[in-house]
Amino acid sequence: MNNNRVKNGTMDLSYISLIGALWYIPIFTVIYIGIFLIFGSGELDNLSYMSVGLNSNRIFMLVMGIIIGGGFIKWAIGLGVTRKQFHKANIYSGAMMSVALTITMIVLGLIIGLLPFVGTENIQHNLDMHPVMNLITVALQVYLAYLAGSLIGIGFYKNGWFGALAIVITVVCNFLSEALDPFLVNALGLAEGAGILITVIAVIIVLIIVNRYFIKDIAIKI
Amino acid sequence: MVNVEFRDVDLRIRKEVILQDVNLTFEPGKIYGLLGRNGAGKTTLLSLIATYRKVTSGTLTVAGENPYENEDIMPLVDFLHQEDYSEESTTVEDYLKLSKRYKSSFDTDYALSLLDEYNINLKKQMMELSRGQQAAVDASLGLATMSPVVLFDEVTNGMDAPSREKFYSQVLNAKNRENRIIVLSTHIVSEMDYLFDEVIIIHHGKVLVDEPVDEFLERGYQVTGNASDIDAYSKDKRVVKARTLGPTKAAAILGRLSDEDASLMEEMNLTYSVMRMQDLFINMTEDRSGKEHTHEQQ
Repeated sequence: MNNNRVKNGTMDLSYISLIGALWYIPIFTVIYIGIFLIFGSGELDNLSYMSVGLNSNRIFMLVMGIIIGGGFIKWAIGLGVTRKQFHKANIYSGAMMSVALTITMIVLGLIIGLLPFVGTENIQHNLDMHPVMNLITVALQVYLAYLAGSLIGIGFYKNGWFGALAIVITVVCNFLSEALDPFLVNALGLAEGAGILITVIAVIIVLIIVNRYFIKDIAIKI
Repeated sequence: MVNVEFRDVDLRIRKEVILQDVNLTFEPGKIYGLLGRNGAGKTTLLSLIATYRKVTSGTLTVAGENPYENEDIMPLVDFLHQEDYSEESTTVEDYLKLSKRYKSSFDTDYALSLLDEYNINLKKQMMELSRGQQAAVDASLGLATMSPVVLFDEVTNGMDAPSREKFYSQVLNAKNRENRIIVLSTHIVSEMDYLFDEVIIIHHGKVLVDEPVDEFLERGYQVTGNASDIDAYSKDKRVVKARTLGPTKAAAILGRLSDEDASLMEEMNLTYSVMRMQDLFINMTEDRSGKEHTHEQQ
């Protein structure tokens, strides 16, 4: 029964993200195609649908994280879900959506890429691992953005100081993966991008722990 | 059977003391009236049971266990309070399904029968309903979850008089009432007093009264009779309200009626009646510093 509550929470939070994605993806696609129709692929050839989409997924998931983190905790507690169960549902839902959104963008990228007037180059130059590892890294970056958004949402729900702290943590986490990549690649002799993958995984673990800490004793406002 | 117990519970938010030294026991089969002025701490008290907040010190138990973050206990409690549904696009029907998914004890047929009394259209989104209808949905869902502890915080706000009457009747006839604790926090004491088995008054964060209704009503009484006799009878008593009509006077007196008082009243030919719960509540929670203790109305 208790695991059901985590499962139900995961499904419900994913449904909310899905509704958001159903708005986001068409709007993004229309804007992308519109820009290429206006400016032409000559100017913007380095912007493929997939590469731009995978980057903007991060922004979308950051926003969804903020909305869900701060906006649904009261709803969950009201339904008899504990803070811990909500936290679990939130991280599972974020993970599911990150994977789903990444796959969707790749599939749509392949379809949109058939259009003669869109960009073709991938701007993810800093990922030079096996393509599967590159995709895993991109999906994890999207997940990291979700967790960062969730932290900001929960932080501001808790109080302004925690919200501000969440923003600081988010900014640091964002810089960290890019900044540490060359250092890790040189030190461990890995392919370019492996440092990002390692750092992103580490930061995700940190964000999951900090999210849990923020939510642990959060007071529900009425 | 699920009991709710507060033992020496304090709640401080930052440095402010919100609740102090709260000792209460809620038992199944009873309807509790939780009364208090604005800001007295009623909602906060209920939010502790619903684990919206954590107690600062003392012990709060539901079914013998600390409810906070307790996944077995939290579903036993339902806390219904005013919600802002102005942007809620979920339909009433979906709300029922949601409740059923999270609370296995939720009785959908019972919920439908309760909602039917308010003529609520199940296909409508919550934001399309009037405030009174939204409150009716909350009230119906609260009763239909069949949770052993149901906390209604000003749930009738926004309901019109007929809807409130329906709600009161639904509470009295609540399914499995004998095994459930129902707490009604309200300002509308005059309408709901007949529902209560026990009265709890919170004043400035402390429990001022916690007793059965009969006992509570013995805390004050009203005497009516000749004005001069009333004045003589009440000269050393705490008169909280008095009304005069010609030679007749009625005085509301705080304090229990002793045998001596009863005989004196008989001698003076004064008539006794019970003080209304609302009057008792108002007078007991009135902050009297710098104010007259007696209100004379001519």
